[in-house]
Amino acid sequence: MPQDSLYARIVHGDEDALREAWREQGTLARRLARRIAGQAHAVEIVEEVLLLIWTKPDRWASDPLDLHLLRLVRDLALIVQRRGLTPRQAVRELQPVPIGGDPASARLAATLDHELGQRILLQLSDAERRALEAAWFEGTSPTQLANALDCDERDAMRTLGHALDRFAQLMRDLQ
Amino acid sequence: MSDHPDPSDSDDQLDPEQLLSAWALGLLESDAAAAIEREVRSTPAMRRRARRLAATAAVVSATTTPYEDDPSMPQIELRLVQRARDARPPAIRPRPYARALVRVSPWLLALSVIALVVSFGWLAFQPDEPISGRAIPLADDGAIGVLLPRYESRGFALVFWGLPELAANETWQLWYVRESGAVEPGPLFAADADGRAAVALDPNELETDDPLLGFAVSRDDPGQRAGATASRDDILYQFPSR
Repeated sequence: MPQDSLYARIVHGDEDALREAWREQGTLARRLARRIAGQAHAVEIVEEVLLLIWTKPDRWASDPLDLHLLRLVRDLALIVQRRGLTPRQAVRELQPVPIGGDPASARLAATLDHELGQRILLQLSDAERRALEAAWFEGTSPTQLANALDCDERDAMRTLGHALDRFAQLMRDLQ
Repeated sequence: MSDHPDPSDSDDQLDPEQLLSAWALGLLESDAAAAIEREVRSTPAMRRRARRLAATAAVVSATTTPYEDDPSMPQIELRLVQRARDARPPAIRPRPYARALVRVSPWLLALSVIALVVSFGWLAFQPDEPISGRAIPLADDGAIGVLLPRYESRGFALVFWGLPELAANETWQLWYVRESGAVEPGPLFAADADGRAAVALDPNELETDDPLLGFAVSRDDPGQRAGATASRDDILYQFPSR
């Protein structure tokens, strides 16, 4: 773990790092929360997640922080959207992410903007794109995904895996 | 995520490899997720793949449509920082570039300190002003501050009028000045468009073994303070001697 990474600085209680996470990582995180839970909750969702990360980084944070933040924001936004709770209420139901970060993906993600992301999406097949968006933005279960794609769960999972692999490959190719 | 049917209930169960994407994205019910998690923990190749899948999914967030942030974002940032301080006080650490600055030139550091003192001094209260419940003019700029005891039955509040407008990256910062000479950071606060601000003060923070002598207020960018603190010379509001 680089000593000056955002994650390391937050672990050490550097308030500047918290502000930096809010200002620099927060923009995309708010876009994600807005897409899932709507404009009214977007800001508060990101605020609650950053507060969790700051308060108990050993439980809620991981290096690299940017992708981890997006994951927690996505999970909290889904709880808000499904349960009709406020972000402060929903945060009690949030679970830590049981998986570490991938530094190589974080480096790629740092330069990915909306336009490039859309170009990559357009190069996926229709089924792959639907699987990817339903799984990430809607938290769709394998059963629901199979229904949406009109196939069995095995094929739905295969499509989702292919979609993620192709997205990662295209990200590397186009940057 | 726990609102979905458990795929392990299916007659035609999928193996862990097939469910790895769903697990990495948190799409499985708890029992099925726990089974995959055990596999992932014991299989390095699955662990690496799961990390890559989860990271890629997070990157898909970049495909969302950009939009203009609400103009109140600086105030929300203040709220976040204050809540963060309440939950876990920050460690005071100089920023790396500030440490480098000290190595490069003690003169630059001296200039920074002078600038800080000037910033505090600009808001210094006039000496020998009365204590509480009365408006006290701040020097030079017409701003007024007053300490209100038992503000909304919660203790105390410092209320300000006529505070000058801040630059976008600046905030107001209150400091507690102790008898020992210690100067501790208090709440950050923001003024409204008319230069008014009210800062609620927690009696538990005010009353410690080290008696409170007064307050200081600074206007600066906390992110650029480089670990500096106010000094006793910066007191803007003085309690009576006890």
